Amino acid sequence: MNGIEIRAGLEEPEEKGRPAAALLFLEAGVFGILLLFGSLKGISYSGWAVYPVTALLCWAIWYTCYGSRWAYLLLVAGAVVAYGAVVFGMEDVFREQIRYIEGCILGGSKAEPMDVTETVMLMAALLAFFTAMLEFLIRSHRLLYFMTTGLLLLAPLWGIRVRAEAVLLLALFQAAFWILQTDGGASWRASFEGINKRRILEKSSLAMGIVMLAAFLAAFPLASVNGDRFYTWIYQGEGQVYRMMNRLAGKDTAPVTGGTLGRGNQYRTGTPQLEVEADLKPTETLYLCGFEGDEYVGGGWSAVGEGELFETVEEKLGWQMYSNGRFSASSLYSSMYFMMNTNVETVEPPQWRNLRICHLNGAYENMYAPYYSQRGWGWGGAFYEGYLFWYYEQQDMNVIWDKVYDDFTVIRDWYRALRDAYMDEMRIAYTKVPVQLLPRLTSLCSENHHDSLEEITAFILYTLHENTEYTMTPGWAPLNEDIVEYFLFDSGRGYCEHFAAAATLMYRLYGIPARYASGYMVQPDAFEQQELGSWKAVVTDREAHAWVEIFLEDYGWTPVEVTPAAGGGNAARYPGFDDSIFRNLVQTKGWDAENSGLRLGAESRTESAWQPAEEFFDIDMEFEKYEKWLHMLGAWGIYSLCLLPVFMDYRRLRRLKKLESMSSRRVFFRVLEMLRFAGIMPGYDGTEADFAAKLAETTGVPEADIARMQNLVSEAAYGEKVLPPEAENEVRKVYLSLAEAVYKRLRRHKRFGFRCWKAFF
Amino acid sequence: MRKLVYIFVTVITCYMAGVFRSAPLMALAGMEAVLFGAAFVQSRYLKRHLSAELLRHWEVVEKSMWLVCKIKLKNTGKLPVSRFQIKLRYGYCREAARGGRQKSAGKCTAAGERAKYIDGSCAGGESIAQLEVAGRYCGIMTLRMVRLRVYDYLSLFSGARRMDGTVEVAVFPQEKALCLELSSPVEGEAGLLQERISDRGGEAGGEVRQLREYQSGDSSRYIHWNQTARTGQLWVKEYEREADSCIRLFLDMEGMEESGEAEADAFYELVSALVLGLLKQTASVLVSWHDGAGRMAEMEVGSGEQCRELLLCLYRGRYPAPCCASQTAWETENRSPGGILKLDMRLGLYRNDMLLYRFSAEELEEQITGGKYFI
Repeated sequence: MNGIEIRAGLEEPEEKGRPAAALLFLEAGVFGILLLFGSLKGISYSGWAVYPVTALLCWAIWYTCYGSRWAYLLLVAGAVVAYGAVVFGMEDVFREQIRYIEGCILGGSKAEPMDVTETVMLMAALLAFFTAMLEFLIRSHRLLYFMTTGLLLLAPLWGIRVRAEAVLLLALFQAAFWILQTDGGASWRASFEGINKRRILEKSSLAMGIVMLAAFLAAFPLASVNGDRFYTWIYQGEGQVYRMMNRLAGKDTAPVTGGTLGRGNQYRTGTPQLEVEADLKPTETLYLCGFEGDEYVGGGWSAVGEGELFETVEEKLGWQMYSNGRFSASSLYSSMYFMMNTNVETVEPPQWRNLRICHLNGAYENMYAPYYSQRGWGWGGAFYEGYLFWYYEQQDMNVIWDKVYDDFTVIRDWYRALRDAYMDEMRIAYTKVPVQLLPRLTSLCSENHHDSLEEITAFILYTLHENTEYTMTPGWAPLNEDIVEYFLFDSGRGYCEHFAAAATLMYRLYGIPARYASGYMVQPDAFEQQELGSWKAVVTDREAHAWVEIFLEDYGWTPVEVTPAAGGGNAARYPGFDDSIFRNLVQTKGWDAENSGLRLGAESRTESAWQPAEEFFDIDMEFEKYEKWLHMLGAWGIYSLCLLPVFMDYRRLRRLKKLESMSSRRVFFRVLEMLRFAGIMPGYDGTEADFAAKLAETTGVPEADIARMQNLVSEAAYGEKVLPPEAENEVRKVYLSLAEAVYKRLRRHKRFGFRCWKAFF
Repeated sequence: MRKLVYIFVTVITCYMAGVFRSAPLMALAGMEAVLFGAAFVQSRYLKRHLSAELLRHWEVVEKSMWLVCKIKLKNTGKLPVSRFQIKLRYGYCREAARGGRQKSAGKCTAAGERAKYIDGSCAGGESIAQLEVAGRYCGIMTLRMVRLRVYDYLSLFSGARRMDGTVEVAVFPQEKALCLELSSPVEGEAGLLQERISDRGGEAGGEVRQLREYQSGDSSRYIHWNQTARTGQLWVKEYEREADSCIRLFLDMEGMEESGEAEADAFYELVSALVLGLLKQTASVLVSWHDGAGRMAEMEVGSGEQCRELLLCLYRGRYPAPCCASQTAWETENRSPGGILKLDMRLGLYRNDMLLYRFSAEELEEQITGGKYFI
């Protein structure tokens, strides 16, 4: 303080009339949220009933809020009674509808879409009261701004396809109330003679609304037509950030591993991760498997752990007594097909190949193995880093169980027994599918019956390639959707992980044992000859890949490529199946994506029958018999919680009203109580000489006003005369100025207590 | 901050639109980007069309009383202004001088000033904004409108324009007079204090206006012994104030420059109360003081209004042109046998260099209103 006090606008007169813009934009906000809610998959309600009732209610709230406070409270009370009666009269209807909505939000679904008009009407009413309370009574837009922004931005995460009208209405609501609630950053404002501030803000908000409408109408067609171009720019930006972050975090050099399916875009850095060296140049695509998926757990695969499986196999074969760390069914099995191929008696025995794999980051927690291989221990002497595999290419595999060298027949018999036992067990382990998570996929496979492996493979390939598009930037998947179903039935866009996962699950649904595998796929042309004659390839994360493994009797686990090739061809190939067989089958079966129900387009996607997911949500509770009462209690709780703000506001207004009949001494006592609550000048009791100066310094309220209040209160306390009403009013005015100033100084959580609980202001 | 939040929300909207491939959200992001640009243009447009000026440049107010200052706003544009902000700088003139800022052409300008911001809205055409100012200390306070900032409707951008409007407000003490009791004009040293300007050094004879009952604190020299003897009750004489009598008061303002605002305020308040108190006893008071340049200034005060003029002269530290007195004349009179009253910055009241009373700045109000002083 430098001895000068300035104030302005303290006596601003209350403006009369009801601002039409406030009603218009209140309805925009409420309708916007309703439309957004209506876009949630599975939600349907009668718009002809909901919208007029909501509009009428908004009008009534607006009319009473800007008119008589008593009328408003009467309206609130009436609404409480009416809705209370409706809720408890139609309890079963609401309970069922709320359960259904809950299912839609969480991702569960019902076989029959349900009409939830009653619940939506109730929700709209609560929403209208809540919005009006914040905007008209508390005059705070910030909370609603962030709430609506959050709703708009997070809606796609819950699978809501945000509609243009909802976006426009909410944007209008946000901007208009942003303007209508403009109160400046200063603690006080200038007041004007003969100028209606509210009218100015109303005009400004309407002008802004018109500009926004025009801008949106111009931007929407542009975004619709050129969407892909915009999305590509965004992905480029996201990719740059992702790569930079990965480089900074040092994650780019770590070899890829794991069975988690990506829910967003994939960006590759091109950083070398492995170095692969072979004695002979590969002639086939080399699959280096680092992960094999066991069970699908929704959004990912658990890693294969065949310990139990092999224990069962050993038990079945009676090999438990021989099993130890070095010789076990599992270790025998791991090199079985390599060994069998090596010992087949032929004129020209196939030559195995040496493959050295070196992890460039020096970490060897996870190893990458080629198919039809076994760990090697020497390659023309020694090597210094990495690990060695001996392997055969698929074309060199020619296992003939009955044609092996004589000295190998005993081992061959063991292998044969092991193979048969393994196949029995594996058939159970690798055909498991969580059907409750994948109702649409299950339904698709059950509706399209196929017998042979070739047919099944062809059908899988056909379904995938006709309904989906390969891209590394498919966008994000909603959190409440299964990624495989979303990929196949909703977005139709994905990359190798999605193709492989979908194909694996389809194989399993047809009863074919299949596994999801991931690692690296190295093309033969990636190998370059070295000075010493070997062939070396540097493998980057661009070669990271996922594929399907199926079990073939003479090959063991064999990779099946289901991801479309870069050129658009159908790349699936395994012994007994190739592109020509696929084409023949498509032709023979007469599959036509347009006519035979194989087109899983957006229309059919949304309407496809969802299997009931009761078991997913149905928790067998011991309190089942009390369920009805629990629901009632819960409904009461939620109902009371929703009405709590109205009650708190009413209580606050009542307490403030009481202030008018309080004596100046009581008011001063409230001031001291308020200061104590806010933690301002804790040691002061109001009688100190520097009380006014210090409080003025802290709050910004003129010292003269505080000193005057102090004098009046001491006059009232110790003087002989009773204070005139004007003086009492003066004390109340200073109280309100102080309360406003203190309120602005408080932190957010304290503000709530200050205003709503203690009702100081 | 708002701008950052807006940009953040726009970027996030754009990003979410991209990753979820949502055309409506992309349109929203586009619209937000367009509005961002439009807001910038609008702030410039509104700035160009809004102006503000102070309606008056000189005001007078009593200490701690509220003064209404009016600002004329003129919006020549077609759009209403939803938010503007005026930056005010305010302070006391003495502070300005002490702060080393210029003090030219009779106007005090920025000094150890404070800044305050006022927000408001404005429709098209002309309108008046008003604010209230109160000074806690006596002196001249200045209120300068230094900047007008106009915001777009979303308050994202603002265009600022420099303003050059100043209002000077003279803050006077409240009209309170010291309760003084002068020495008898016919006895003893009366000639020292009360003399005729026209006939300095002559016999000053006051006539008894009335007799009244003795009150506690009355000097024994004014007791009317005859009446007392007659009635058996103490009576004292009250003298007529002479129409052309004058009391000399010298203000020793040494240390004014170094003094604090509160000290200066107490001094001005005491000068006012003393002069007004003396004026109740005599027709006029001849006040003299040294100005900042060491020259002697003199002013005859005969009324409350003249007392304010005197204070204004003191505030401004200038000579009152019409009644300048030469230093020689002052020195001549200073040697006169009558002597003078003197008030210094430490609130000491002297008569012929003899301390009569020492006032206290903290208790000045009580001392002025509650005390009775014999001089």
